Amino acid sequence: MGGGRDQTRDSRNDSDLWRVPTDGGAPTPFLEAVWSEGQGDISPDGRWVVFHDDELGHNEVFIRSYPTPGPKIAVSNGLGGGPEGSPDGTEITYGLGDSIGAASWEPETQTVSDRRPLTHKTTESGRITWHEPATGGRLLVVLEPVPDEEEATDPPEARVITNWFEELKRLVGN
Amino acid sequence: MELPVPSEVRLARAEDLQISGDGSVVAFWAPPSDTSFFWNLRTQEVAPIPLPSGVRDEDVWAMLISGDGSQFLVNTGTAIWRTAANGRTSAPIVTLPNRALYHWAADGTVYYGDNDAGYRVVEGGDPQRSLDKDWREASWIRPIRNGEAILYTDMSPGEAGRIILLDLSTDEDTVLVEPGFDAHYLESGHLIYGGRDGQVRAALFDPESSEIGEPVVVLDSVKIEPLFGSMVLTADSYGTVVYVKEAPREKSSLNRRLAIMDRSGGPELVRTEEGDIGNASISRDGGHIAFSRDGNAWVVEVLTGRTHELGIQGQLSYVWSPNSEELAVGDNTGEGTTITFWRPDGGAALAGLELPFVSRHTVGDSPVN
Repeated sequence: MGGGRDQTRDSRNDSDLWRVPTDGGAPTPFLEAVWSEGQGDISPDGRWVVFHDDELGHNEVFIRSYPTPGPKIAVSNGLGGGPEGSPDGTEITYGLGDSIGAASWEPETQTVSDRRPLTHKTTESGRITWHEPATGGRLLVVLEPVPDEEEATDPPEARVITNWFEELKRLVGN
Repeated sequence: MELPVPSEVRLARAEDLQISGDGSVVAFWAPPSDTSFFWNLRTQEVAPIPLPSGVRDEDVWAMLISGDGSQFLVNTGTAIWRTAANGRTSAPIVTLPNRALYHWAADGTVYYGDNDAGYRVVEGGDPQRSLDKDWREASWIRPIRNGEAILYTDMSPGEAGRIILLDLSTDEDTVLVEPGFDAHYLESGHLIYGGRDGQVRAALFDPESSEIGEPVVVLDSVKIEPLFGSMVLTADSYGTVVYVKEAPREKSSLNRRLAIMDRSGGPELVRTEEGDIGNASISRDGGHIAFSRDGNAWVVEVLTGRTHELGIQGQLSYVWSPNSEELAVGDNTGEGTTITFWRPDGGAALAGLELPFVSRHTVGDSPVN
């Protein structure tokens, strides 16, 4: 290890990324913009941080050098949040709506490529509520049961009710 | 009385549902096309909301509907525009807002805000800073009492939601409901709000005195919008309510389990008891997984399935050191964050850090210069 491990954190104030030495010392800002940054994850070689920010009004995933932040390199393309780096530092996964997205990362050339949806969050084994890349290209996931077939074919229904205030008065009083 | 819903109104997947104050028009945003629509309840016309020139559907960050349903406010993140159902668009009301839209009052005043303050602006005028308040954990902000008070939900970490009335003349907060979220004050004199069980409760409420009556469940299984947790429900001033009813689900969160999934989608289950499993983290060598079950911290050895409890409970998050020899556990209390370090095979905490607040942490090897 170098002079001490450090941690990045989101501050409460602006959702910025901060660094704090784990062997003591004061936190210092790492990324401190007027928009929010979050979900920082340091690469295994300690040279990169993947994170999301909402500079564009929605979350996108980026990567920057660490500990001295260089230019932002876009990882996602249109939408993405909650990034996680793979244990070997060559892949980044992130939330992509109803899917989990992935992109390849080449640190030597600083190139992001092969952006792709990795898997839908609803699988035969259940619905993925949490994920993180694991060794061998696998994913650690938390799965919850999907509704049974009968329930799944019963889609949500839109309801429009007029004179609802009368019902409220009957149920709650006035 | 329940009204039929035309088939082209795809409210089942709709979010950001709003009804005009007069109950004539419903606006909603529908994935996967990311398109905002309006639905005229009187004529049954359904059409995309016209957007200003150069603004794409995916640029729309938030919108509001006018009281008579004829116009819409569209926030693109860089400007707030006014656009009409007939396609006429104004110049931006405000540029560079990058802020949330709160309310569009009958007199044309628009309320919007960011983390630190609220603003109001009338088209053609300069924005007036009107609310100096820490809004960092505030959601579902709605002016009431003609803008003299604000109804909002405090969603501080670790909290299930507190519905609060802020009196702008005294700057005094009054907690009305806990837990609860996404409160609406209706012209009938009722406050309605959501619960995580999908039930909507209503209580008599006097906004002048802040007196609130006993809540009663008035709607069941209302869909909770997944991104921000809002109820997919809207009500007008005259008693029309539009909402999406979702089939009641089992308490599946109590039956979550850990798995390691390969790229073909096949899971290799990790042997842990099912439970209310939240987040998890696997060490870089793949040997151990730290996870939360029922709010408690656990570590499982992947090869053997042997688990042990760390003995801490709370809003926990986990990060492994690069060499997989230490686990950093963050515990958010709402007031601050404690990070403790553990060996994967158990034992007492090695050291700790007290920090003001951390929503997520990661560990690296870089020296702190």
